[in-house]
Amino acid sequence: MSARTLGAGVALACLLVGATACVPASPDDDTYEGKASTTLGGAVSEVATMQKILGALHEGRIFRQTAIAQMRDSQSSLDTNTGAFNEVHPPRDLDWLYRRSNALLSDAADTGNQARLAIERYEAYRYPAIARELGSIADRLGRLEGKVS
Amino acid sequence: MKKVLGLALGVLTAIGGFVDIGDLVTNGTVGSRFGTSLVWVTLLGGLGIVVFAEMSGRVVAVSGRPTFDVIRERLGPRVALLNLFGSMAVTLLTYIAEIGGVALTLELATSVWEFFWIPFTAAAVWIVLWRAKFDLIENVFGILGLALIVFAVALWQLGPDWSALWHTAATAAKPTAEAWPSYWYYAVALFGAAMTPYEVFFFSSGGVEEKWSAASLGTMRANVMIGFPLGAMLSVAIAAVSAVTLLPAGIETETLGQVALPVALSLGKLGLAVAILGFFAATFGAACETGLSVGYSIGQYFGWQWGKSVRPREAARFHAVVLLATVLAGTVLLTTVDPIMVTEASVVFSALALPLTYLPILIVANDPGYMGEHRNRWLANGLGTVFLVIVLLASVAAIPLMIWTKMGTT
Repeated sequence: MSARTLGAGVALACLLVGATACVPASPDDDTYEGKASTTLGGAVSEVATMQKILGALHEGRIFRQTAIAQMRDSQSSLDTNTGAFNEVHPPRDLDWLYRRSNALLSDAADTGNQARLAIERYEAYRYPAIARELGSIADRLGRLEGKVS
Repeated sequence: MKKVLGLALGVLTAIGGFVDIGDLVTNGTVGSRFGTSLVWVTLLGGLGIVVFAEMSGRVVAVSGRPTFDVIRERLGPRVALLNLFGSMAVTLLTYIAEIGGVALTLELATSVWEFFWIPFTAAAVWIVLWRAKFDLIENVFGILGLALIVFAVALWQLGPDWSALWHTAATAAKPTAEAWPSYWYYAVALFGAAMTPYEVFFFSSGGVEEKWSAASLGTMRANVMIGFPLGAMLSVAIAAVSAVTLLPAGIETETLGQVALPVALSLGKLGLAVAILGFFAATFGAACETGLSVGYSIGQYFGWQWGKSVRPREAARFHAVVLLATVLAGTVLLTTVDPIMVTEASVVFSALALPLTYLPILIVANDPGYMGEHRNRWLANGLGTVFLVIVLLASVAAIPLMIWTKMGTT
């Protein structure tokens, strides 16, 4: 085999590997449920963190600056996990899981955003209601995670 | 009286300087996921660092030369080069993580985005390394690092079920929701965090900076045998406080803010302020230690003039290496890489590189040519050999476990 043929073979292999990396993954049921479970577990963690932060802020136990920094981190982590989950194609019979997860993750992102805005705008009167909403979302996320894990 | 005060200062510095960003993040994560079931690893790693720090400190005190210099002479330049590459790569990664940790701490204190702080942090670390005296760096950040005792106070204030915590720790009972591979992955990471190679480089090179002699052996042993175990207890407190507050709420610690959250819930703003001060001291102090360690190990390998005890002009290449490492660390962090991810990688790769650091120390500490009557006795050799086996197992398991568990996420 000449060096040119070998080089062409390597280049073709690289191209194929690169091309497969651009195609969204279509996993089987178990893999998809595993991915959903990890994403939902991560979301429970971030939503519960935001709830605790809001509660601590309401009770004057945490600095506003620290609360904002952690809220930003939690939102960012939630967005990253949701994005990674949405890039995976669900198997046809797990469409329900995709829809329910997506709806809950979307609620979590919206409420997290409301929480951060309330802190940024010094709207302390909204903290208890948003914290309750975050608690409810965390419970629902946890129940769905329990179903698939 | 002066001697006693000096001894106390050394011990307090060793306690406060024990914890770094790797310990903070790994212990927080482990506590929030595995409760106190992995406390045994922290204690094991604490004992391991005591064994090898004592050995390397003894080599310095007896030979008057840093461990790396003796390794190169005893084992030859090729083996020493392997040691240099392996340990240096991990130390540099740890340096990046520590500077990122300072930036994250400043973000927690100000809410200003961490990436804004990175250039200022890197510059501040370099200025301190350039201008400040060695004992000033060691003492100031070591003593301020004692602020992390706030985690133990927070734990006491929370009034946990002590018997349940003790039972989980004593039986190493993993939560049922967690998988065994992840348990062992975090065991290796905790071990790597406790026995990070730079700790030995810094400790032994610091001995040369402070001009230890055989007469300093008592002080050195007190620092190692009292200070390091008490420092390890700070790590245990961080894990325990997370186990009590975050684990029941389903929170898995992934950020420095989550590490601090239990202190805020327990002690309020005052406790949080002390915790943030402790984070700053621990990360800034460790950034200085790792930055110096990069310069120490390269300078000692090539036989350059090195250290803080000589004028910068006389150790120009040493300071140039420290400056380059600082610029590299700042540049890597400015690519927006997540400092916590770097930290997690650094503790796992630290476990991988451990044999390269600790095997040569064991060999040199046994050499009567260098050590004379102070060479290893049966206890040091026995413990050293046992730990070398554990270090090898951790090193072999680190990468497969990292891949298998996707860095502990499964």
